Amino acid sequence: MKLTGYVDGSTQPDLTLTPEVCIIGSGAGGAVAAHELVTSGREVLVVEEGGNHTRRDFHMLEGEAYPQLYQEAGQRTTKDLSIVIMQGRAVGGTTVVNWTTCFRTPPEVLDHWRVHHGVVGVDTAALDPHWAAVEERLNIHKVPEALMNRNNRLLYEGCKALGWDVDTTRRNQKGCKQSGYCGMGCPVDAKQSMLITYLPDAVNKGASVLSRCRIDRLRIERGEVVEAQGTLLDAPGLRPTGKSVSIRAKKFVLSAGSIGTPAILLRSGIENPAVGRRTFLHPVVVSVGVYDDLVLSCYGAPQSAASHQFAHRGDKVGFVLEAAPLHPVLMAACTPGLGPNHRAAMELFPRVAVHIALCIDGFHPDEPGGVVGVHASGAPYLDYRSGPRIQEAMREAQQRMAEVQFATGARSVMTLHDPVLMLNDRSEIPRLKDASFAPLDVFMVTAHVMGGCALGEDPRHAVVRSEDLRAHDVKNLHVVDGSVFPTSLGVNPQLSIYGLARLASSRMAASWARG
Amino acid sequence: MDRRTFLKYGVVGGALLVVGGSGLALWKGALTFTPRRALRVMDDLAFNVTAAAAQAVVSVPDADAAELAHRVDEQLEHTTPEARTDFLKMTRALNSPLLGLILDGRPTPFLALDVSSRAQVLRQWGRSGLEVRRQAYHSMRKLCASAYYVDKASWLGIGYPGPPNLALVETP
Repeated sequence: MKLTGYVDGSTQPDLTLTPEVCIIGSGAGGAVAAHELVTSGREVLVVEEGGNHTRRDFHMLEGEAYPQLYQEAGQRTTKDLSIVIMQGRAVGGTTVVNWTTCFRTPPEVLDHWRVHHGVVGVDTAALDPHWAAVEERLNIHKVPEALMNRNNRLLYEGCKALGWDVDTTRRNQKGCKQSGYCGMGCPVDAKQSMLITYLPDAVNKGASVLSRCRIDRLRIERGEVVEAQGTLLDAPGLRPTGKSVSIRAKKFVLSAGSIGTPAILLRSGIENPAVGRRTFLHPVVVSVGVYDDLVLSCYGAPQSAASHQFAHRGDKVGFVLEAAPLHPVLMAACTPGLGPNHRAAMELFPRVAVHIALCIDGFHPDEPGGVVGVHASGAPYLDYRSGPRIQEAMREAQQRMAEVQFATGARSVMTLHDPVLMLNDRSEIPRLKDASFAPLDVFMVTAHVMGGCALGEDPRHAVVRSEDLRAHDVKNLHVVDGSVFPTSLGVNPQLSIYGLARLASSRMAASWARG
Repeated sequence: MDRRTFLKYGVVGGALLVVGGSGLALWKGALTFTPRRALRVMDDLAFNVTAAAAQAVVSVPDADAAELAHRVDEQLEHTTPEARTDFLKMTRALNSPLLGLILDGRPTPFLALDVSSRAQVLRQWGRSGLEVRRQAYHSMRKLCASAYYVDKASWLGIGYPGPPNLALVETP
């Protein structure tokens, strides 16, 4: 059977499909791969566990957006519940809900992969034309200073005042109305996510997209995937409809993200010991600056400034400073305390700036990252414990963010420890030196899950080879998403995934054409 | 006290402990919150413990504890089967007077406490040396607080104006 265009799996009977290429996941990796492969003349089917929602479904309401667009309705966490994991679950994947920040992979990161992880042929020269093509298609441009919202401007001006490196970021948007609701799906299609760019481009060229289809396992025989076995889900994506999917393709591409992809491989019984290991998060610690006047961090482009002043700290873990948007549910969940204390903090809502530090994990030998596993039910989990190096970086970052906020006139600065650590002026910043940053002692979050199926030439430590992201031990299986990164990146990952996906897919297409 | 007397007291004390412990294990407190619609994940006890916890987490006069518990129940439906099971176990542990007695010297079910005592118990869990209790505290706190602020009616009180009317906004 052959599907055409967009198909809602929740309404389908049992399906047996035989596309030439089956791509599992429709986010940053899968969408770009679909476009490249269909353009090269392949018959492509994309399957996606999430629903197919459009701007007409995006009403800038957290109560609707989190269940509709996020894994576990935004409640996914690490196994010990210490880090909240914000990951998309929709046609278009996390690109539907990210904050539009775009960075190319830093050259020093690619060098590190080459030297320490045996990565070959994935360097700036190879990626440049692919990044350029994606940047053009997604209209990626630098944010003019005048368009920064107050939250980002405080970060920007604070860093400037302290003499630190800071710049405006680049965003993938066209016609942005600066609403501030990127994390709930763009209501005006200004965000150039996969939902409105590469996926429809691919569909227009003949690809099909089956939503509400969860792939449970790959059946692998004699070193080849012979079938992807899946389950169709009901319209809200909560329960199986009772209908199943069998996909028998010549080639399979796994693009289910850095938790979903290793989980499918583990459920499929793949024996490579590197699967699921070395998963990194850019674990984030938050600083809340309280100002006398309105900040309204809920409005305006959520991220438009970033400082890499502390990205390179020698033997210590580096961190990047950025801003984050704030909405009531998000604030309620991350604000510590109970009863009147929690309420008092919530009443600061209009006057707080929210600055975050992303710790750059994965670059030290004694920092192994997390491990993806699979529960008895088949649901994935991520076991990640932030160790002493990450905790040291968080402690340092918390002090630096307080400096930024006091430098821009904050009346006080709050950490998200429980109970809250409140600093009333700059002289109190050293109190943070004694604060604990152990798991569960302070609120931590991530929106950047990376690794788990590392690329590299050594099959003992890598899951896919560098050239075209083909699995070392499965001939017709490729992995194209952020799970192939051997470390974290030190920058927001979407453009790195797009570029690598385009490079790898072009190499796949060329290699398949040669037979 | 000779050995025989000690053993006699020991047997009697042990029996009392068994009876008392069994009683504590069975004492749940009153289920005062009645679900208003079908529960998705929780049973009546979990629903009541969650509603009781919500009263301590969200100290706002207009908070409707039963409605907050329903919203938490609906959120849990999106989580993994394992997370749902853990949540149900957590509500039982939180309400257990036997565990309360052993760990905190509190031989009273969570449901039998007043709101300020429930807040105190939750804080004890949040500061506990046992990671599983701190996990439970954070989980319950986040779910209940989020359940309140998801409602538009809560926004005015914290100065959140709500989403803009984009039809009136020009693209800069």
